[in-house]
Amino acid sequence: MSVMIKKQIPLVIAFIVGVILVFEWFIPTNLGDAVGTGLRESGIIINSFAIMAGVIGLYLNEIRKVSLRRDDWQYSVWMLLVVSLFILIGVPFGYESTNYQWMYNSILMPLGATMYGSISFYIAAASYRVLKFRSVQSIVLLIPAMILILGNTPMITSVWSGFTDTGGWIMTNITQPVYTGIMIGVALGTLATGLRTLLGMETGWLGRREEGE
Amino acid sequence: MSEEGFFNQLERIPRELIYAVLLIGLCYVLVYPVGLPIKVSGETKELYDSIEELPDDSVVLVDIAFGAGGMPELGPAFTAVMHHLYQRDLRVIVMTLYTEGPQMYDILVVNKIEPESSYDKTYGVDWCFFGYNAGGVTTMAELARNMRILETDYRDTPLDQLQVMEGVEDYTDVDLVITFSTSSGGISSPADWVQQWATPYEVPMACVVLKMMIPTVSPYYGTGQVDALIPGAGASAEYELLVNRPDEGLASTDALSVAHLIVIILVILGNIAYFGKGGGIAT
Amino acid sequence: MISTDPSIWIAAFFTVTIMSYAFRDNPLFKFAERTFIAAVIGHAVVMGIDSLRQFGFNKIQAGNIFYVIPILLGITILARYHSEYYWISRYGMAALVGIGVGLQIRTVPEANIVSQLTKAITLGDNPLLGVFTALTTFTVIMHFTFTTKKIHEKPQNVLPVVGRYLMLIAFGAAFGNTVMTRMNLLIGRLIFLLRDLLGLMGA
Repeated sequence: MSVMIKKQIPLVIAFIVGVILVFEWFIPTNLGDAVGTGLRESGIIINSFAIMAGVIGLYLNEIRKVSLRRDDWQYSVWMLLVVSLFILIGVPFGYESTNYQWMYNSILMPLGATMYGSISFYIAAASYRVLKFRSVQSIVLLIPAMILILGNTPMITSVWSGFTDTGGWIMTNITQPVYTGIMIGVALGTLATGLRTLLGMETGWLGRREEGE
Repeated sequence: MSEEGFFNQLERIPRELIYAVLLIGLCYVLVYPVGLPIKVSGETKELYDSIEELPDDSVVLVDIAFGAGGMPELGPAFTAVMHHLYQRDLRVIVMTLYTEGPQMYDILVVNKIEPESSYDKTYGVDWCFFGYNAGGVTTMAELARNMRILETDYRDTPLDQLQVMEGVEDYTDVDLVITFSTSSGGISSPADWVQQWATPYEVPMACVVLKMMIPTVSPYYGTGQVDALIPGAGASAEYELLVNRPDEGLASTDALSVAHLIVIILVILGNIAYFGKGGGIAT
Repeated sequence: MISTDPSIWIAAFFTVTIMSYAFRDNPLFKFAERTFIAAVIGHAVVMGIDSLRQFGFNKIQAGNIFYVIPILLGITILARYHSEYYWISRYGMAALVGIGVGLQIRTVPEANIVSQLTKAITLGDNPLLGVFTALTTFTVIMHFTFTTKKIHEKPQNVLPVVGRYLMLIAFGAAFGNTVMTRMNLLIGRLIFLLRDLLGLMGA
């Protein structure tokens, strides 16, 4: 009984919901359309809670670090302060409020933008240390890379378009078909995994398990 | 210094020096730009033409699928394309399924483009913004069947009261979808739009993505599921030229050249050191 | 002219501290990194609650009682961190998983398989090039096929090996694009520092 409530019924719910949406698509009926719409609208609401679930995990994790005085626990105090500040200003006053926009523009925006931009330093270092013509395979990898890099250099392409044209040919006639093959493989895997999930053979999404489940 | 010593030295250039050269080179050319001409590529012209050829009063759905992380590359492209949309007599519906989408809208549309003062456009008549919705692909799928599923815009005004939404009920009333996306497989990715809108309903679609995402989205472009595909980097400068709104895209062109040339020089130096020390090509 | 706006200075501080990690790890970077994580999560909560208000609670206030059910299911997801009643979250997750999988399964075959295969076997204007691109796609698929091991045995393994080399060319080209993206992102931040903070660039 316990296993049924904790595991079997959720698996059945996932199966029924998934099957309804698939059948609604391939066999259109008024009833199917109405139920499908209801399910999709429900999904929009449930997704909002899923996004908020992350904050509970953060609070629990960081509070534990502070209480146990783990390494760098001071940063955990700061993190809890920042999360709380965003929520305390954003929820009652709205994300459109002046104060919240100020916080976003001063804190989140520059951090987010720089976090991904700083990878370019490592690309520069890797270009020097790692990108070497040490084997046939590395030559096959590096020559198109160099052609594309030169083809993406406006100073060169404004004078001579050879690299751009060659790079374009590589992208259209080699890169595109290669990624098409990869896309087909990934799609087959997605279908297989999706079917396994609906049939209850993939249960990773259940999360933590007890003995006997 | 012996030859072997020279190549050993060449192989040990400190990374801090590399970073410093990169930073100084980029900063110098940003402050003192060279201003070389750039060519508009066929792909950028394709997107430009697809907007230019839309009849007046056409409905364009614009999806903001980037945040602070993608703003340096997609921000200039988004701004240039939105300038074009406002230059025409079109109905623009902006939406986002990204948590940072509303902030991007505020920064780029409200504060930067200022459609009301720049183009004499009226919110609610010429364009509207749905605001953020947390539903992800579920919302996207449902919007295709019912464009009024969200019921209100980001100011909580009922969509029924907005003139721009008049007659816009579902995908049949949308003439073009343009998505600005940093996501390869996450929320509001081009793949989601192709699967939920372009393929089943054959809605014309254009994607503006990070340059590094071009290979993953190109299969959809090759099959015609996506009608126009341009990267933010490089193409933003070209689009700014086409709409006559020079901005960050053009400003960064010379810096991009310097960055790429530095990378090429580093690859060459690294290989000179490798082969100079007696390295070979393994088969 | 150097900016006097505190917001710009705070943004510049975070920009520089994040970049400093490239040189070496340091306490300021850790501070900035933790701030970023906390800000992202805090912002997500704010936007999630607003989305819920706009789409869920407003509809219930308007009289649509049906929306109580997904709200209750959504609340169950928050139970995932409870030591004893974590299993309650599986009900909300089941609905989400079923919806997500259902939406994917019904559209992926046409969009990602049929359309792509149709394009792959279409020769186009240049038949020779068409054969080449078709072979490219199929050798790549063969490279990832492990159902029959014979594909990877000599002499027929030449096809998966060709697929591997074609993939190397494709990934090399993709790397060239990645360089441009990353450099562009860095340039964007430098424009902020030079123009907005230090006033060294024109508008």
